[in-house]
Amino acid sequence: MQIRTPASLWMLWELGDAVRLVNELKGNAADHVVLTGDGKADAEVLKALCIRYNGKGIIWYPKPPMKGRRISGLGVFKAIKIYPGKYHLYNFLVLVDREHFIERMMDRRRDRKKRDEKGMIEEYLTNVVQIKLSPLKDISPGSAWRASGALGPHKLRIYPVIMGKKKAMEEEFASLLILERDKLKLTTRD
Amino acid sequence: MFVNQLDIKEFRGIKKCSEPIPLTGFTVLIGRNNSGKSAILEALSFLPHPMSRVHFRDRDKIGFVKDLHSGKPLVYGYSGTAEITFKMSAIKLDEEEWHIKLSSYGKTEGIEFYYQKDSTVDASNWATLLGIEKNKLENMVVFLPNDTEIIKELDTKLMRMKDQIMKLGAHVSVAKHINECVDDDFTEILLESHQLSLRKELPDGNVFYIQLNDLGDGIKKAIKIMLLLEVIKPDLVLIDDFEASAHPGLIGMLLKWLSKKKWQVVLSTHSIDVLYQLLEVRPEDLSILQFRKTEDDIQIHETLTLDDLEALIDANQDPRLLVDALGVG
Repeated sequence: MQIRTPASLWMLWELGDAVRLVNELKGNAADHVVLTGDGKADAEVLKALCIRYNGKGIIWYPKPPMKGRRISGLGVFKAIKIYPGKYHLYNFLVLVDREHFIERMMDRRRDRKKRDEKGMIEEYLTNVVQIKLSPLKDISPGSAWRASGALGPHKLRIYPVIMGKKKAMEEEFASLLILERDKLKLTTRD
Repeated sequence: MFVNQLDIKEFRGIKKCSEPIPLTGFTVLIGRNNSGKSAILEALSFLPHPMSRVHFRDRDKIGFVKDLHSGKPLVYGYSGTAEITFKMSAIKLDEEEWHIKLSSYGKTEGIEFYYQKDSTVDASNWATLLGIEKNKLENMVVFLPNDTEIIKELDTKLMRMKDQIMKLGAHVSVAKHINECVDDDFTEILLESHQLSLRKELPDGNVFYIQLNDLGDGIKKAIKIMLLLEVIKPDLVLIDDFEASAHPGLIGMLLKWLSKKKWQVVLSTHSIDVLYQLLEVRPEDLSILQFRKTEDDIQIHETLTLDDLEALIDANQDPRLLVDALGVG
C-alpha cells in the first residue's frame, strides 16, 4: 500500500519556522492565518503537527463557531478579502476538504467545463474573491500549492491545501498513523 | 439618525479611543469582556443631557450609571477629567459637536455640558434650545443595561403608561410579535391591578391569564422593553448584552422589530446568534463595531458592514474572535 504524506505536513515544511499554532493572539501579531470550514478535525491535526515544530512564528487559527450556520466549501476563501484591510494580515493557510472539489467536479461535468482542483482554486480566487493572482505553484501536486496575489494595495500569499484523498481531513489521520507505525517498525528493527 | 460619532477620553475603563467611533442607524458592538462596549453605551446614555432624568428611577443619567457600578466617580482611574464628545446629526445647532466633561478631584465632582466652547448649558436651557419641554428630554434616549432589577422596576413605569399603551394598541401588537417566537397563543397584555399579565388562548377555547413575572426572563424582558419603546418612541435605543436570556427565535424577532422603527439602535452582544440573525433580518444602515482594548486601555475599533459580515460567516469565520487581530498587525 502506497502511503502519501499528508498535504498539511508538506505545508508546514513549506512554512518553515512559522509553526506555532495559537487560537488567541493576546497582543501578538500573526504571521499566517488558518482558514477552514467547520474545522474540528483540522484544528486537532494542525495543533499536533505544530507541537513537533514549535517554531517562532505564529499561525493564528481563530476557531470557527461550533455550530456553523452554513456549509463553507470553497466559500472559506471569501474571508481573505476581509483580512488585509481590516486586520493587516496577508498570509493565509486555507484548508478545504476534498469532497467539496469532487462535488464541484460533478457539477462541472454536467456543464462541460473541466477544471482540476488547482484550476478551481485559481478560478475562485480570481473571480469570486477578486484577487490578482499569479499561477499557483505546486508544493504537493494535487493537494497543496503556493500562490501570490494582490488585493487592492495589499500583497498576499496564500497556501491552499486540500485535505483528504477522497473526502476529508480524517483520511489524513489514517495516513499519519500509518507513517508513524512504519517509523516505529523501522526503529524497532534497527 | 440621532448621533453619528462618539469620542471618549478617560471615561470608565477607557483611557482614550484610537479614533472617534462612527455610529450608523443600527450599530452592533462586539468585543471581549471588558473591551469597553458597556462604557460606550453608558456614554451615549448621557444624551441629550447628562442631567436629564432616566425612566426607571428618580435619577439623572449620570447618577443612574453610577448606581450601576460602585457609586464611585465615572472618571478613568476614579480621578481626573473624563471627556465625551458627540457628533450629532439629528439636531442642528450652531455646532454639531456636543461635549460632556466629568471631573473628580478628591471629594469634588463636576459635570459640564456644552456645545459651544466655555458655555455650559443646564438641562432646562438645553430643552429650550432644542425647542422641547424639559421632561421630554428623557424620552429622547433610552438605555437598557443588562440588569434584572431595572427590568423589574419597569413594571411601575409601564403601569403609569397604561392609557398610552392601550390607546396605541401596543398591548395587542406586542403580544402578536411575541407569538412569533413562543409556542403559546397570547392575544393581549393586560395592565391591571398593578401588574402585567398575558391573556393566553388554548386550542379548546379556554382562556388563561398568566402573570408576566411568571414567564421566562427572556420573554419578560422583551415584552417590557417593547411596550416601553412603543410608547416613548425614543430617537436612540441603547441595549447592553442584547441576547441575555433570549433564544435565537426571540433574538430574531426583536432585531426585526427594532430595525423596522425610525429610531437609531446601538446594542452590544457576545452572541453568534445575534450575528447570524442580523444576516437574516438585514437591518438598513447596519454596522458591526469590533473592539479591542490595549494593555494601556486605548480602545481600538474596526467596522464591518453587512457584506463583510456575510463574507466572514460564509467562510465560517467568527467575527467575535477576529477582534484579537485589531491593532497588532
